[in-house]
Amino acid sequence: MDALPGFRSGAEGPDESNNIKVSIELKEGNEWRFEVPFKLTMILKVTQGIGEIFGTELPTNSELELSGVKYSVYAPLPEGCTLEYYLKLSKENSNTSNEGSEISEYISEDNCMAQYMNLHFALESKRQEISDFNYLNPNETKTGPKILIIGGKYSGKTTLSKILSSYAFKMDRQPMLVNLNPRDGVFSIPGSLTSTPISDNFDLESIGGYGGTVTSGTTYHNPKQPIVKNYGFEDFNTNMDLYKHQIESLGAVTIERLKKDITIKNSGCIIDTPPLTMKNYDIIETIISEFQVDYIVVLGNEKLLADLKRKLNHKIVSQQLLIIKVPKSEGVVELEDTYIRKCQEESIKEYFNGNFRNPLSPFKTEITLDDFTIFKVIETSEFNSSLMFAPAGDSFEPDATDENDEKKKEEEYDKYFKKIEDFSTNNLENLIIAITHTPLSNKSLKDILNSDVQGYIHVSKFEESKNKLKVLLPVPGAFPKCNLISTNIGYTE
Amino acid sequence: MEAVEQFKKTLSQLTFNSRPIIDALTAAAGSNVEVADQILDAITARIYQVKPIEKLFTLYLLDSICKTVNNPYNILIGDEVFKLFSHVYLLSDESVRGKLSNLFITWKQTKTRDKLPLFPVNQLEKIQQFLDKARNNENERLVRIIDELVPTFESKLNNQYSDKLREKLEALKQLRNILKTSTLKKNELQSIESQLSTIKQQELGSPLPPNVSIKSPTKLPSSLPMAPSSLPSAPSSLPSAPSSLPSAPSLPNNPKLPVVPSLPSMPASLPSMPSSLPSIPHQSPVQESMEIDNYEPDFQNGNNYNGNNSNNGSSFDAPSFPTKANEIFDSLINVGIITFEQDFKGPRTFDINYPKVINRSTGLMETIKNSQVPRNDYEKLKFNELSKFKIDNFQGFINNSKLSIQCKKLLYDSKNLKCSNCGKRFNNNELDKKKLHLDWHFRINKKFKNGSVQSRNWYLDEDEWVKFKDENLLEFQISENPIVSQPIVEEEVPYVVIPSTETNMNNKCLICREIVKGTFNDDLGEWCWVNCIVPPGETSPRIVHANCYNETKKRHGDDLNGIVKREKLT
Repeated sequence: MDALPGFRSGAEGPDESNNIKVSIELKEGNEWRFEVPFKLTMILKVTQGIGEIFGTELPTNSELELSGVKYSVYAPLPEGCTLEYYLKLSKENSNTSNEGSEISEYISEDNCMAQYMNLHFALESKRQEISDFNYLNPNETKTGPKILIIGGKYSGKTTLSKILSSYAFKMDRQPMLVNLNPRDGVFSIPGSLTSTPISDNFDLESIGGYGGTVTSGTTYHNPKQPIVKNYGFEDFNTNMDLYKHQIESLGAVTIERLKKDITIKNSGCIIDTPPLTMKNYDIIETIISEFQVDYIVVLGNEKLLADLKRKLNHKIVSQQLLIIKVPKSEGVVELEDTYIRKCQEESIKEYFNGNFRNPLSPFKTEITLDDFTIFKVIETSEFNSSLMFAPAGDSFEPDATDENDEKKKEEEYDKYFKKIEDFSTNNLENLIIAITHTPLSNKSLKDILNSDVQGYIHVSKFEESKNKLKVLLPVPGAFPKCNLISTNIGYTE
Repeated sequence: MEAVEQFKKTLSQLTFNSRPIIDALTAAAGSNVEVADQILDAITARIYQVKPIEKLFTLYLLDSICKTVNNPYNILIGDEVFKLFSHVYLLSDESVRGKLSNLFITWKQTKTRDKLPLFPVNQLEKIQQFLDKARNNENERLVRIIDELVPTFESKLNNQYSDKLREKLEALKQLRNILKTSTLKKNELQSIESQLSTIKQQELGSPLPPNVSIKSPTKLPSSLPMAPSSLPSAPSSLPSAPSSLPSAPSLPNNPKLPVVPSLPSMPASLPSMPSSLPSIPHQSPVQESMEIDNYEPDFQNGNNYNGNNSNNGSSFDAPSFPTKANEIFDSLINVGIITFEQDFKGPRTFDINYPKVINRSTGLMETIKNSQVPRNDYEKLKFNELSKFKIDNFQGFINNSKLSIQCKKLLYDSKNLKCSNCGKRFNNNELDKKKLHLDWHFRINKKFKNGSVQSRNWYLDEDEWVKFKDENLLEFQISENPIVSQPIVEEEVPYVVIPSTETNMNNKCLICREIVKGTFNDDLGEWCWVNCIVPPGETSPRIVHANCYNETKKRHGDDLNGIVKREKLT
């Protein structure tokens, strides 16, 4: 945690003039790891050689502005890489959190990039084989490698998935990046699960380092077009049934896209996950079957590797699945909860307001609650406790009428989500609500639950007297007449 | 007058591919534009008179002059390029023809400073047709090669039956049918040819101990094989290249060449050649030094060309002054039988990978099939590198494999057009794409300076998303016509005539909300909002920028009703 020599700023007061330029020289294979708090902005550029951040190559002599990041620049080629940076205070975040006010940085000679690159080339070799095959056999096409990345907390899963997607893109592929970790919003906000074809570079300056999605005009970087499923909690454990359900529904649509798009099909999928363990084996199994996973990459966890190999032996023997391990990078840092929370907030903010390069203007409007049906995702613990008080025996009536059947069907969905009957400040205010694609006329709970997200709104105020919600709408225009599902993700502007 | 004489004198020294001479002559041509016609006469005369191989170098000179100086040279010679080109092509052997094709590719892509084609379009088209015809004959030639091979296979089969051999024979016969019946692309033909050469060596030649490593301190021209180049099928028809080797003994002691390069010498007969590969090293420093200073036609006259541009579109002709041995050696590199580590500093190590491709379980048919897959230059390079891998053990490969520098470069320099704004890379032959990309940056920077307001769009629903193509998100539409440049059609600038009832000349775009000022159009005699249209379902004065409209439409299907509804809410 070396402080930058000669640089003392932050709490003591702003000193814009003090942007001393520091130069860093990396030899081939070295990695420069650095953390920049939200309070500061690092202006970074490559002056010589080639450097990349998680597979995304940096432009030469063109400045990047990074804030609130934990990144590393890797020098892949013999010519090495020379970087230059200086710091300034971030305008917006200078007084927000109680995080440190200094950057930390060091050069590491010992990293796993060589193995990660080998992994990429091995996969690319497979992609080549498959795309050649598909070209020659257009009627019986195969799908490129579908890679599931698994590892414990802080093992670098997301980093690896970024590296693999970037490298694949650089070799003219268009891999599908699937994010199953609801903690991070990938091309969306936290609480969502997404699949996104990677058809261009990642935008390192954006929160999370992924980049933006389509907007009404041109963007600074080419946008991506994800499909978004709403899970609604940041922890996948909160409602395992719902989580699994949404994995299934995301898997189905993803596979459907692969069928329609040969470029993506040749390239395959890269699936990033939350820290799953053997306790979550059923989830792992769901992912494998829904996404037709044929490669599992385990990050630095021998025990998990051995357990998975044992459990999935039948698939390995029949050559449907290959389980590979790669070492965990020493550079992975443990994230503090406050940092995670801050990132989530920033990514929601970015969804509505854009970032410094690409400011967006959200739209404030009011909706009358009577006009809408709002559902809310349910915590499993809450659902279980509600069961305890439910009158027993109702649903086990042997001579159930048709009406009862329907009711029973509806009850099936109780464990996932429930219609909000009594609105209150508590269950609405400052929450993020997902707008589904199902029109209000469609009352089918199944359709509503399976529907993908059209966009998110933020409830800034519940006006009980008028029975109205003041909301922040990302897209100007009419409020879609669609069913709404409230998430459990909170946000204050 | 003197200048012309001087020019002619230097021109007569152009008996080998020498960059300095070509550069000097180009400079001379550039500073003596007033005698351009005489200079061109001298060059044309030389092209018609000299030995085939020297014709090529003279053509290179012409290329260099036209690309560097442009006007008047490219215009004066314009109507003759087809004649010159076809003349040289007809009298050249395969390897030179390959280079000529590459030269032609650069002609198609090079634009003069005025953004015009380098040579008249009708001449270029003539050359294109000529080349297409010439390539059709290639089919016949390959069929002949197969015909030569088939009896050998049959006699081998008679002596010693094996399924593998049987399978190969079948494959060959099938390939023969394909060649007989269908027209193939140039690159397909090239790869088939190289495969055939491999088979020829394997079947006709004596067996070779696998994986012999020759440690040779040779510094070969570092241009990497782009594509399997054609092996000279009929060595006897080669122009007498070796005899035209200039005796320039002054070079061996050149201090710039610390390592005395040596090339393994090879008997000229192709079939038995590989077995004698590791034998007596042959000293050829002269040649070496010349290769370093080769002229290679580049898109914009390769002033910055250096040998490290491993995959310049036109650089797969490594030693452009071949002795037979050198040429064969090169061909072997091209088909991947000999590989080397591209290490710019140390001595180079060559490995012989005796037909590894074929030994792999995929089998011959697979290999031949793979060669039918069309690949651009980058993909070829990638294919070559990736097929060097032997991934029997995935885990082992990840743990232990040490990637060669060429391989790593596939992620970097192999696509050597890097955008200085965002670091995105483009293939060398994607100049057009890069241009579009830069235009896009420019447009966006301008737009952001103007501080336009925009908002996020909705995510697509499942049906739309499944059908969505990501190309629509990118800065360029895929256009497949880089060859003949169409004259730029002046597109009509859209405008909306300001209604006479309107008192406010200032309006705003419903999408980006930018203020649009009214301007007076002299031709129409009306006040207009230029570059704007009235979106469908709207009436003037409700307008949007034509660009805003198209971009929104492109991104989000035809549903633009959002605009209408928004106004109602605000």
